[in-house]
Amino acid sequence: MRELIEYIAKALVDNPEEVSVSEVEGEVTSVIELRVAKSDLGKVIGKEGRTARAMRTLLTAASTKIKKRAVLEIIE
Amino acid sequence: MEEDYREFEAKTVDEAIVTAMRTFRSDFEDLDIRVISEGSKGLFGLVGTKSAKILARPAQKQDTKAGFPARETIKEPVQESRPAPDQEERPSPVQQAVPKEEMDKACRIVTELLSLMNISAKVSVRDENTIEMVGDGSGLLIGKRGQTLDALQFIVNRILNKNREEPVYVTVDTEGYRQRHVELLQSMALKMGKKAKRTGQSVFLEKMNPYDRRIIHLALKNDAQVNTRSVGEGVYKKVLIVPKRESRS
Repeated sequence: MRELIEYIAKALVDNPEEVSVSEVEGEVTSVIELRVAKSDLGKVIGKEGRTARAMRTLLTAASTKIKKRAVLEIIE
Repeated sequence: MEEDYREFEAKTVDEAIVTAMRTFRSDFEDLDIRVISEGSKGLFGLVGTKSAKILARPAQKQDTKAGFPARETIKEPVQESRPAPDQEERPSPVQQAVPKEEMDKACRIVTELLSLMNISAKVSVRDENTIEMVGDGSGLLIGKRGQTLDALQFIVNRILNKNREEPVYVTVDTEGYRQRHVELLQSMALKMGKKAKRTGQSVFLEKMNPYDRRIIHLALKNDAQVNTRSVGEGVYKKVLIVPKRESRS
């Protein structure tokens, strides 16, 4: 899960070296925290939050398959 | 400016607009509508429910043909539900051929994404702008109302176009979903168009993205007895199918 978000975020931002993703695993739900350079926030959120929503949708699809839940938090 | 407006209150903006249309016996396009409050369902529909409020009046007849000059005096154009021509629904460049190297790149991105999602599927280039995925056929790649497929497509295009001046638009498909989806929308448009004509009442469709709305508008374009409008704000809007008055018996 962590790698999925990391791959997408790094491909979208201008400063891939400043992308950091951590995963706090729970029994059922894991929280994935994405941090990017301040100037890249818009890139991972997108117009009307479309990019963030698309990432969350893919995360949900991937975690459904292993019968888990994952939430994406974009940390400012 | 304010004097001929009447206030309408309902659970949602859509319902308020429909009430206004009935009160004035006007079609949607013959009304001036200002949204005052969007309304809110509150918590479980119990606490903090707020009704939607709009102001409506018949459009000034001499204005209607001249591009609605009344509009300029409206202070909050963002809050308006006027059926302005929808920029997003213009023919999209989706059909254009994408250079082969970009298609190969798209193919690699989709492969990488799927492998990171632990989904095994065969990814290939179907034609000049479509990436085909063959998975286990479970619909996991499609998702509810195609949302997983759309998300995948959106991310791929975002990545592809990051450093491009001329954007390319790649379609991602699986199990023939895109074609099936278009046919479904077309048949729904025709069915709801019939319903609008039969009942003489406007029909709201659920919220859709610009591409889907465009399919609805096109499907009913040649039907002389109904008009279609997009209503709402943001990327996802509702299509309103309005029967023309002459056709009401």
